[in-house]
Amino acid sequence: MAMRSSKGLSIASGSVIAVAAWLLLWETASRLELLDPFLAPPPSVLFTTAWELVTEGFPDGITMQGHVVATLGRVLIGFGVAAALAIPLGIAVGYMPTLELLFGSIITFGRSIAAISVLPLFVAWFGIGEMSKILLIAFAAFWIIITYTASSVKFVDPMLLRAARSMDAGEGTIFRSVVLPAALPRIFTGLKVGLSVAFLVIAAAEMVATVKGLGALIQEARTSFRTDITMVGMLAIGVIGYLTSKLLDVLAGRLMPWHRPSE
Amino acid sequence: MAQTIGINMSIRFPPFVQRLFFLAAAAALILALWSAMVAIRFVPENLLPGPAAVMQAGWQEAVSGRLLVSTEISMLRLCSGFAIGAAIGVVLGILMGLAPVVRMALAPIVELLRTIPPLAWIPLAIIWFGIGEASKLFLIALTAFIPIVIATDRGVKQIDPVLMRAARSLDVPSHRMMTGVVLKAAMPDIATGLRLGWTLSFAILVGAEMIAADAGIGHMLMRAMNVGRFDIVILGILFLGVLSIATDAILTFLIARFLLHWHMGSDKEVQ
Repeated sequence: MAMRSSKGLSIASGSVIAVAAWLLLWETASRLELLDPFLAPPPSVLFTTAWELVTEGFPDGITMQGHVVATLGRVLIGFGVAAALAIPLGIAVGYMPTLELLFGSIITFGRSIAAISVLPLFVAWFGIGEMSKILLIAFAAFWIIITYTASSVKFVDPMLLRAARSMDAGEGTIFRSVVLPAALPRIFTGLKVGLSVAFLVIAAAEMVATVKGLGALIQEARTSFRTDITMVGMLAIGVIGYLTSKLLDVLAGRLMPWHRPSE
Repeated sequence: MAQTIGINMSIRFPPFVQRLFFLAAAAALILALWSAMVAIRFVPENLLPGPAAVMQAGWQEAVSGRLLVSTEISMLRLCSGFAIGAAIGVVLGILMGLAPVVRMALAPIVELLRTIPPLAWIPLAIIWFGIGEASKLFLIALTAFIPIVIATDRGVKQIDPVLMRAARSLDVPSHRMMTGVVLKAAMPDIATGLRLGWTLSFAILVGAEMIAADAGIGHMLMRAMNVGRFDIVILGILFLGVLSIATDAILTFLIARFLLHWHMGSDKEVQ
């Protein structure tokens, strides 16, 4: 077995070999029609399709760039609105026990609402255009970010607070120099989870009543029996989700040079 | 911070009374906001019925038995999909955690799957499985599978090698090794994965049911929207939220009772 020899290799080269092996297996199976090429077009076809999408576009000549910009725009605006509201509110809720008692249950319930189930309501309220999609993303990400932010502030190591108090730091100083920096890593975790939820929601929201955006692209491709385009579109959603998440990591590294991410 | 700011009411009232009081206050706050939104005609009244109208719709749907039927279908669907995803996730996760070769082979696929949001699979699920039950089950199973396989792999990988060596030196047969050592030692992580998988598949349930709604709560929502019954739409949204919290509590209880009963401090671990 060829796999056995890879045991001694490093993890990185092991994954490269694994990826290459899977691609080769898929390509061969699809070419030999062991896999129905309609259901699972081979990787080589997907490459050609991706190039076609970039140069010619689908449908109606909307290029891949156009779809990416549409989706990314909606996600970033909705996510930005959610973060701008949820971080200050979450800090307040986490910092003041009375607010936490009052709003804790509301936040738990809001987080438990399936954002997708709100889509019909938002479409009725705000129309089928951009507004309902952006607000749906904001709604979904808001509850996640406020949950993480509130708990980040609430669970700041009490040792740090006692240490600061014993050094006669004022409440304002403690908040700025102890609570906020200690809470920041968890707030960023919340932002990352919120971002992934934003992409989850937009993928479905774009399947309704629009032609622009990656969700629309993969849905439109399905109705035209273009499995290859559907797959490339899915990969594109994965890639921009991954890249924006990495961007948040970079931002986190800049803001918290003292903090080493655990994974 | 509890010592510095805020009112410490727990001295005067037992904690659950205090919690009940704030729960009631939160509910009152939401109802007041909701009623205010209706009163100022935030949107036309038929698009945002008030709390009373929604409660009435809830009563009608409950009495007619429609709500129960929809709930039954959705929950059966969710449980079946979740069971499939969890079973595959735990088995593959254990194999990945135990055999580096398997991890090397499967890790790229798992990494790829976790970057693609589950609902983006809807079109491909329809291409592969049609618009019937199979595509819905596939979506739910896939959604549950991803966090469970990742958590299981992590749990098995982190098993203290001393445990394994001790079991081996005691000549524990290999099947007992699996159930008595590997599964047990990895269980706190698996439990975390199971809960996350459940929450996520619950969150995408309505999306999966929108594929060609025939029955279930997703269908109830879509049909209510199409005929303009927004009291039922809001009812469905709130009901799903309650159901999500309730089923998560049940799952947490079942995990603590049957999977982690031997594990000290398991309450903290699964939280």
